[in-house]
Amino acid sequence: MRNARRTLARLLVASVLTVAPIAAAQTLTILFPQEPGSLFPHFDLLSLAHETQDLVFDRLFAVDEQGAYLPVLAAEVPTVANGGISADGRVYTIRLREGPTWHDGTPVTSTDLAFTWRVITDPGLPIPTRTVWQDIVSIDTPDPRTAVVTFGDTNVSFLGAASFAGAFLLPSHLLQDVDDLANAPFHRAPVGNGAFRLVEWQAGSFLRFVRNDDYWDGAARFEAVVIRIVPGSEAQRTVVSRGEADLVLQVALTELPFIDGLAGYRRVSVPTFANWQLWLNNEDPVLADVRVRRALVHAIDRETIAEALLGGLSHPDDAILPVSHWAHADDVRRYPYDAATAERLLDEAGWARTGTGRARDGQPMVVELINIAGQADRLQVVQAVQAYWRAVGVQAEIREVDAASFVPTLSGGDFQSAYGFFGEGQEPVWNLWLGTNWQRYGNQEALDLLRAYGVTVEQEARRELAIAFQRQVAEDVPVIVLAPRPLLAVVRADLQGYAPTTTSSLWNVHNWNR
Amino acid sequence: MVHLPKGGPADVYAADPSATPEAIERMKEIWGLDQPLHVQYVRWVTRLAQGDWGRSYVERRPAIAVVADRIGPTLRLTGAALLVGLVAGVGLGVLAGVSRSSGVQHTVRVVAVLGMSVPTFWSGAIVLLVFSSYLRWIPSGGVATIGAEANLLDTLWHLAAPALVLGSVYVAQWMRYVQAGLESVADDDYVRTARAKGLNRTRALLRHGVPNVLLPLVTVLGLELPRLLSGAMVTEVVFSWPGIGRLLHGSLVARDYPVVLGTLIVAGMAVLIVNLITDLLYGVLDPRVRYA
Repeated sequence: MRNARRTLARLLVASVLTVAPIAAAQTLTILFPQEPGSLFPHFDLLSLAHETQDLVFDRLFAVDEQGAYLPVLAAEVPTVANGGISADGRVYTIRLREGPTWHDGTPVTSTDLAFTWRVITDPGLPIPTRTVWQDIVSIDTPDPRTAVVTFGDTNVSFLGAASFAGAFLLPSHLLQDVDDLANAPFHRAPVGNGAFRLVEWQAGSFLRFVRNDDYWDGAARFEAVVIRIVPGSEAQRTVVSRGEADLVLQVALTELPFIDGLAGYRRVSVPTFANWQLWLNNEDPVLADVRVRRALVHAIDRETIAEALLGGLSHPDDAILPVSHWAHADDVRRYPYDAATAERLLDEAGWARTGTGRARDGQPMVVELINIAGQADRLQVVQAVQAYWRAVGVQAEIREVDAASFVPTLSGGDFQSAYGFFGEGQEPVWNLWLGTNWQRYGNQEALDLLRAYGVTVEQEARRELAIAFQRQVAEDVPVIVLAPRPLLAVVRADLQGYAPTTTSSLWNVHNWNR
Repeated sequence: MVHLPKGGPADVYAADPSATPEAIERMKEIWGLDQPLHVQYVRWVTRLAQGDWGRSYVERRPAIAVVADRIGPTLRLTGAALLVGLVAGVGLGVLAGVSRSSGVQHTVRVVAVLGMSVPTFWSGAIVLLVFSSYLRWIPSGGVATIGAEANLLDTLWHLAAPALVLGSVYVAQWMRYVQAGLESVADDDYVRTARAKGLNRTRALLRHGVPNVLLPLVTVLGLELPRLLSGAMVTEVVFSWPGIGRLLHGSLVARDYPVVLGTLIVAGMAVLIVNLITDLLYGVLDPRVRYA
């Protein structure tokens, strides 16, 4: 009996000892708050899906920390000067690098680029965005290393589209004969050409990747990468406080006090081209008057909001492209916090004071403010705006909607004002203005500047057009820019090489080490 | 009903700056979401009758496979929580019911009130903070150690905290239920008869009172299952447990209708099965119950 107990005890100890540590020395562990749906490039717009795909796939180009294009699968960045872009901006000649292969050993060729274009533009596939790619007329492949991309008209956004977060090439030799790409096993078991290969995906728990030893830029320093799906902030705090994560992406701003008191980690402000902003419905009877819109900006102390509620990660600006963007305008009309000016503008617009509120022709001044429910940091900002507007007599009523209802509400025009974020890319496509136009901006002269932007090949000339547009938008205030929206990441202090850009956090993951 | 809130799976994509309204409409057309609701419903029911639950808009695979992946972890968690609730709840309830010590009874009442009042998202967070962050007695979440061989002890190690947190609500509730039941039958004829035959109060209650009190508990157990599943949703989020509850929450946010409906079908089936088991158990536990 005693021997049996000893044996049992030994078995128990042995079974505990066989449990491997979660964060082994050569494993990079990344925490995601949300699970990617698909690793088939172009099918999923979730930014965390793009980050995950970045482990497995490569793009033609990447964007570095300074916003400059870098060749990845391409051998060089095409320009007009090197003959890669035709003088009329219609033809891009892409020369591919020698060496990159798919994980099954097949070389990456220009045929893969042509196939990727055909998949993206296939009208029968549920691919959410085909912007820029749908304007391509043909992709010729004179040899395996060369692709000639031809647009019907001048196109200035191709490099931006080809370096976009999720713009990865697809393996034509594996997918061209698949009947139903929308539901192919490739979504959960991709074969890529990147620095890591997916080896295990436990739904709701984690994804595990191992190093691709044949990677064209040299094998990654980490042997494996684990992406842990940890949705709750309490659970994320626990994982980080135990030192089990190297990197946490898309951390909520409400976690800042916790992060700042954490030993062994540092916080990183990840740049984006997005702004936190208030959409104003320019066709709404109350907000159609530019004096009212200007008054609403003057009424808000954006500096205090940015400092106290947005983590002090950025400073407010009045230009719609953030200061980190190459086409940002410095000299736009400014709207400093000035409640007296706000009151005067509202008086001039006919909204007279009635005690704590205002009214015009017997109608009280009420502005509904829509917010996405469920995020404490967003609600705090909206409540602050509500308080600032009330201080100048504008009664703001907050209406909370869930995330999926937000877009239909705005696109349907059933709103007065709404809080959220919006960002352009490296090469702006101006869809918010020429496409969705949720704010119902109707200044055609200003919009013509954007139309001209789209057919101007020379970058400096495009910059001037973008700056002229930003100046006019700052005059008209169709939206209120609160502050740029960098993302917050938590990084282990001894992790080296992490250099997030506006398009990706993991673009250079093969060079990271600890 | 899942279509009542504004927005749909295609609208989730519209948050992208380059997704045009035309692209969103195209996505709806491809997924059949541009059809009237009754057409979509008839199509879904027809396919369901053929064993096709539809395909997840998010994961791009059959909804039945998405849901099936999560059933195991949820069964493990709710089963363990049920066990915790039953063993501790009934045990402590019997202790309180047969005890004449006012100290024991008051303690039980306090524990019961606390257990029923403290929400699981709070107790879960506290358990994580104290026992995982500070004391390191339990893991930081998940169902098993990543990269390790499947191992019973490792599984139990990960299961213990979420099961205790989820089960704690039922410990309190069932403890109070059993205690009250024993107090109410203490003066019933059959208990007094047993005592007249020479058994002391404790023995009489244990031998004759407890079986009679436990019988209605079976009904309560069956009725509590939906609440157990909804409680599991919160616990699963707090402990990063990849179960049905977390899946339902995520699918509702993403408007992944086939998966939402799939999880509801599974939950409905679970309630039906448990009610059937409850009915059958009556016959086993109470010889007076017979089925025609």
